[in-house]
Amino acid sequence: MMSKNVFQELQEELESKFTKEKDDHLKLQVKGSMNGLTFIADIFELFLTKFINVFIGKGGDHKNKK
Amino acid sequence: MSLLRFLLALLGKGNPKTITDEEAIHKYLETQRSFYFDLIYERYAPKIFGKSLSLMNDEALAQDCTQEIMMKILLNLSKFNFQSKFSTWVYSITYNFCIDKIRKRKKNPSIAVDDFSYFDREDNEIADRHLKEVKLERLKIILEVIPISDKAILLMKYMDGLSIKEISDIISKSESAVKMKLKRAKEKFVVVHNKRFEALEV
Repeated sequence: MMSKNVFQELQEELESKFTKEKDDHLKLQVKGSMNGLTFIADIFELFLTKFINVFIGKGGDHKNKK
Repeated sequence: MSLLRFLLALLGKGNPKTITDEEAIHKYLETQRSFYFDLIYERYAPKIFGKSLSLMNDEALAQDCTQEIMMKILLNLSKFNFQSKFSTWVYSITYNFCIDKIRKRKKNPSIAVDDFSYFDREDNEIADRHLKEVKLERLKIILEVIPISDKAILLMKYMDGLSIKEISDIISKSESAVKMKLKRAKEKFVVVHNKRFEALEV
């Protein structure tokens, strides 16, 4: 097994400062932000779908009327 | 334990340890299941935090950066082209994000370029072992002093063990430019080391 150089020792030391408390807090924030963005994206997609449906629907009606 | 494995297999998730980064990404993009998100998060959040901390020298800032970098990674996951290792892609985002952040803050406590001008450039082939064998406490001090771009390139090379090609992809410079930057960074490292610690050794 290769021994660690001093840079890798430093990385290990710094990673160890990522405590459980920090981890939980961060995971919650990232998940919350992701969920928020997903929610916004879903709403946007819903509106876009509705808009396209209405738009296509109107187009279709117009053609049918002709 | 075997029951857990059975349950995981039943859910189609497999053993978390045997799932590669690439498989986890594919599965996450396909299913958006939090299991795969957690897998990627748990593997990389501490590494990103460690790298951010080594670049920013501030725990609170490093934590903010980790959150923003994680978000960036997750939002751009579909853009990962699987050409390079996922870890290299993550480090690329991490380094570039932190360097940008530091530059924007303009609070980089670095030594002015002129301070390094006295370095004897004719005798400058610095062996890697000079850097790798420095004491940990000294390394921390030196990294606090040298400019951020030099610090980042040294970390990529000696902390992450990235190749010249990988570093050149990350910082968007040619391989010869990376070699030159690395050489200069090593010179600065030795200058700071000698300035700070040589007197102690005499």
